[in-house]
Amino acid sequence: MAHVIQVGAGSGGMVVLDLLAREAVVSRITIIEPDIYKPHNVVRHYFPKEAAGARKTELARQWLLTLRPELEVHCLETDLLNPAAQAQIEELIATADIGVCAVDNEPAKYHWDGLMRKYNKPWTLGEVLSGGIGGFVHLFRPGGPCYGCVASYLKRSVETDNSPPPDYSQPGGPVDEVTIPATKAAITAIASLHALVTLELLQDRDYDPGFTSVLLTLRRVPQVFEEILRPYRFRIERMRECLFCGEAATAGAAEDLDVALAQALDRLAHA
Amino acid sequence: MLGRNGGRSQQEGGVDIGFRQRVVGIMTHASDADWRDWFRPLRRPLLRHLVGWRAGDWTLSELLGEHLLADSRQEQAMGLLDSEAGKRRLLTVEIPAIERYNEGRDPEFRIRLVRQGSNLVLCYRLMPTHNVYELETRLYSSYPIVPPETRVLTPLRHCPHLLEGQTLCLWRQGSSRQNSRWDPARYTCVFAVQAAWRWLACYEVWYDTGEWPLPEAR
Repeated sequence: MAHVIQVGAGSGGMVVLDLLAREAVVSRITIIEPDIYKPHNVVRHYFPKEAAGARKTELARQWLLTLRPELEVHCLETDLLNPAAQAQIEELIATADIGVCAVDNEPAKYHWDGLMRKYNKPWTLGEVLSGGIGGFVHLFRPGGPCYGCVASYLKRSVETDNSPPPDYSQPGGPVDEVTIPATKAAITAIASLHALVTLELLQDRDYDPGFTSVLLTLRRVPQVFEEILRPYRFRIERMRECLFCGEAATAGAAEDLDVALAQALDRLAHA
Repeated sequence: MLGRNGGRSQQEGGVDIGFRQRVVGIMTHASDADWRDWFRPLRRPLLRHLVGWRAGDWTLSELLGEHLLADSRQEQAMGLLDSEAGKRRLLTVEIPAIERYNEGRDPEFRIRLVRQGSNLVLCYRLMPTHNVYELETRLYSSYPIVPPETRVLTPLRHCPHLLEGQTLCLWRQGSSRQNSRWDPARYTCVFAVQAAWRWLACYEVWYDTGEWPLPEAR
């Protein structure tokens, strides 16, 4: 009987929650999500438009309890990065068996990764690419590569976007950075894979599918994805020089971080 | 419509249920951009004050959703100087890198590190060829996930790759993993200093020849 802690109950996160909650191996679910269900969410969610204005956590809780009334569902209506909620979040992570990340912003992913490493918890991450052309599912295990290692590797080695670069002749001009919404079908496909991998990892701590990240193409995009529904598997190693989990970053810092930091800043203020 | 009390009360705290319906109705028809424009004039301290305000059994945040509060949440988010991870990053990675950079360097070309609120600012001089430039590289609270920002304090001529406020265009613009050239797992703030040195070397060539000597970043 396992405790799953998940950050994010958006259009993808809700699919993951739904699929995990149906399995008997999951007995307790904690959801961290600050947002309110809005009218424009309706098209990609399970909930009706009449639910607009309610907290996503509350809607998720009701949904899960309808599926399995015996499930223990705990909701934290806060942003993962809210300093005031950190103690409570850490307390819940400490009791969890696995973490699930279903957020789409980088600071939250890095922060979640840091928390999972701190408490030696395995976790999974699902990412739908802009336009729903495909998506990633990543598995993280204690001692393995961190999100920084994975992001760095993918940034260097994998092309998932062929949009033109910004106009550098006018660097102050508007930046074309429109995220094209994915279809519900694309989100559900990747979120289902995410749930599948999470369940496998939950049932077998030594689960090794032969990859740390898998990219599934959902649409053909010239010069990016030549084939539809093709999986690309990546076995990404932990980077020794990673500035999040590598040797330098994990070298012993002083016991009292605040004192050591104040001393270092004072020293460098007068360099 | 769901509320904490199941939407039972018609009037609580002097605000009737019609107000809630009007607000949600406006939300239904307004785009995100509209909301940002409407609420931009409200300053952040006021937003923070309003977070706890209640209308009947609903808080303002429940009524207006995250549009109104996104900015104030950003401001409250964990940062470089107030999270354990941020402090560890500074002590084990960034500060040692700055100290290595400073080691054996003339005092006037060393990096000074100054705290400004929730940000850190590296103050330094560079001399890529014959001219000395004064610069500052700002590490925002969200550093290293968000790249550092470098600006030249010494007046420059308007040239390519220069943003407002003499901020250098060093990383491909963009905030996602796919479209930003900044890699927080591999780069320290000293990399930003080295990138600024390279930018200034290009500037000096451009100043003399009118040609930017490096290809456009892709």
